[in-house]
Amino acid sequence: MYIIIIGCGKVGYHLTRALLSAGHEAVAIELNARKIATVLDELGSVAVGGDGTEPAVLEEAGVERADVLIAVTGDDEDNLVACQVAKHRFNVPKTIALANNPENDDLFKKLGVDVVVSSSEIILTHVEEELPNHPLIHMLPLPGSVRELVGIHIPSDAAVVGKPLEEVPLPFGTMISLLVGTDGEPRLPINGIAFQADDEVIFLTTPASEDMLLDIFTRIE
Amino acid sequence: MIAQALAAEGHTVTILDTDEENLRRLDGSNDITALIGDGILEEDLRRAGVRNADVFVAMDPSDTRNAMAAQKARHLFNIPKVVCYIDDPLRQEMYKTLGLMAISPVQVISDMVMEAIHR
Repeated sequence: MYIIIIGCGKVGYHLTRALLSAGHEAVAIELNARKIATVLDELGSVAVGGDGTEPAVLEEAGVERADVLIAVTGDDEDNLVACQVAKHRFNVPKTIALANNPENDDLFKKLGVDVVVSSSEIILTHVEEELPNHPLIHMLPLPGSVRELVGIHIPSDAAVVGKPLEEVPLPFGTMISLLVGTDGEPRLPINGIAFQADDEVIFLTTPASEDMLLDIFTRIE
Repeated sequence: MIAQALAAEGHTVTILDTDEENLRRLDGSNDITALIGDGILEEDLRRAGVRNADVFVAMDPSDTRNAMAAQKARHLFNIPKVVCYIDDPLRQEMYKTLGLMAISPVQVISDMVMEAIHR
């Protein structure tokens, strides 16, 4: 695949290197002469000097035959415009943008950026999961939908311990996929099965239901 | 100048700029509310009363900042009329097709020159 990367800071540099070593054809566009020199020195002639939000510069980098454009500068407005120019002027099939400010996540999606990577959200999620006793783990977002797989650890003193599945109401749009006991033995979520202390429960749910779900399964009564 | 012209027409005008120095030049125009803030940040836009605005004008020297501010005004705050300054004629043309009233000085001046020649 031919991939154009806008912005050759830390993220852009390592991305370019990783894509090249994965066998892709990649070119980085960067305004800063010193950063370009680093890429040219260390990775070969895979950098173009210029403003990656300008159609003329993108054209010089061969945007017309690009399969993917990835914008990872430190400025969200530049990432947005680079993706919009690529998409609307040059019909690049896939555009990916970094949202440095999480508030721009939704706007980028609304304006047609195909994949939005929100760096602070990712770091926050990991930090939360690494904190001791954080009982909800994000396992897998399901692409193309708002649903995701999450896991919740049931504390031994939770109110749901000992209750059968059918007696515990779930938030709308949430389903239990699997229960895993402390011995690692999986149990299918069928009627009659009861929640046990220290079970890991895997749910299909939405981000909006997470707080309610966490409350139901960790509340102590 | 645009802010002063609009205020002179009797409109309520709020101007947002990150640079205090620029706002100081408005001293003496009592009809204009001047706020220090960043027009691409939703919180600052809200503080400037963007929810009740009828018209939004993005006139930063940076094209990309204008494009982002204008699209926030249009798509997040649903302002009916959004005008933005896009210097690069290729980008200006693109944003026009995306529904923004994008004005490129380069385009305006070259149109005027062409008109003067053909007159």
